[in-house]
Amino acid sequence: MVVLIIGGSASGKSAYGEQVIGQLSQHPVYLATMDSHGKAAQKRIEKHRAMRAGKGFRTLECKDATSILAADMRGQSVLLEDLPNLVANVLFQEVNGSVAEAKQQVRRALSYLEKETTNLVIITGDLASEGLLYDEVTTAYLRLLGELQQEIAADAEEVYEVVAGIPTVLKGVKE
Amino acid sequence: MIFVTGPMFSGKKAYLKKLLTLSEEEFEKQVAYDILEDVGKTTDIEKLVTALREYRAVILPEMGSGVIPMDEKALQLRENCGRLAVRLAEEADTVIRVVCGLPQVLKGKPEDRQ
Repeated sequence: MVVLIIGGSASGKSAYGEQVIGQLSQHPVYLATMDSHGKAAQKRIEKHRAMRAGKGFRTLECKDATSILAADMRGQSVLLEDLPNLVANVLFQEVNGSVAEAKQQVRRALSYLEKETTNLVIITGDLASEGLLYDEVTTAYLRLLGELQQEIAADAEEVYEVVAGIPTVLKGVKE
Repeated sequence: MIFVTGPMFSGKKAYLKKLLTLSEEEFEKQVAYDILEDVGKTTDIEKLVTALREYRAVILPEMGSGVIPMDEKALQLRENCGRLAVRLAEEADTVIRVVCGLPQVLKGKPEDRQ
């Protein structure tokens, strides 16, 4: 099954995603998409590593679509963390700025994951409700991310928005 | 403690004033709001949690939407705000998100706490 979890920065969406995948599998795969360049990225990665410690995760680093497509995901329960990073990496590095190509690549990676995995939990961010207009490139990125989120949500069994660590249901029923 | 969250300027304080029916003076004493400056500066979220849970209600806006800022201070405010909100929601009996002045109950029952 596919679960999509959206939330703002530091909203507790990762912790909730870990909880959901942990209920679905005892040995989930943590699909890390973050590009580890820079001090801030390193700090975030360290924080998330500490959060996952002792929870039985196997970490797999795939920062673009090609590496996801090359990974063996058969029958796995996968927590993809997170979509904004993956889309940015694909758009700005893998396909060098072509929005159409980026969309195709991310779609290929996502359908591969949906097909191969038993459970797929996707973490995404609320990047587009800030009320700021950005340059053309950033706007194209935000639109691409928004469109992909809509596509995933349309097919997902469950969709949650996490607010202050509390999941609110956008789709599906969770007691 | 009642924790009220939601976007900025969404009517959080007005909602809480109606819910709690306190005098202005009581409201000032019992409700923590406009705390973003302290939140942005803190390096110790737990210390803030300890201080804030003594209040009857705490108001803190959602700041985590939008493109992640490059500016370190802006980044820290968003991070602190989010982490603090998660902790306050854990401590609170009631969590309410106010959007367009309308309350969405995320935890507990507001009527029990009036």
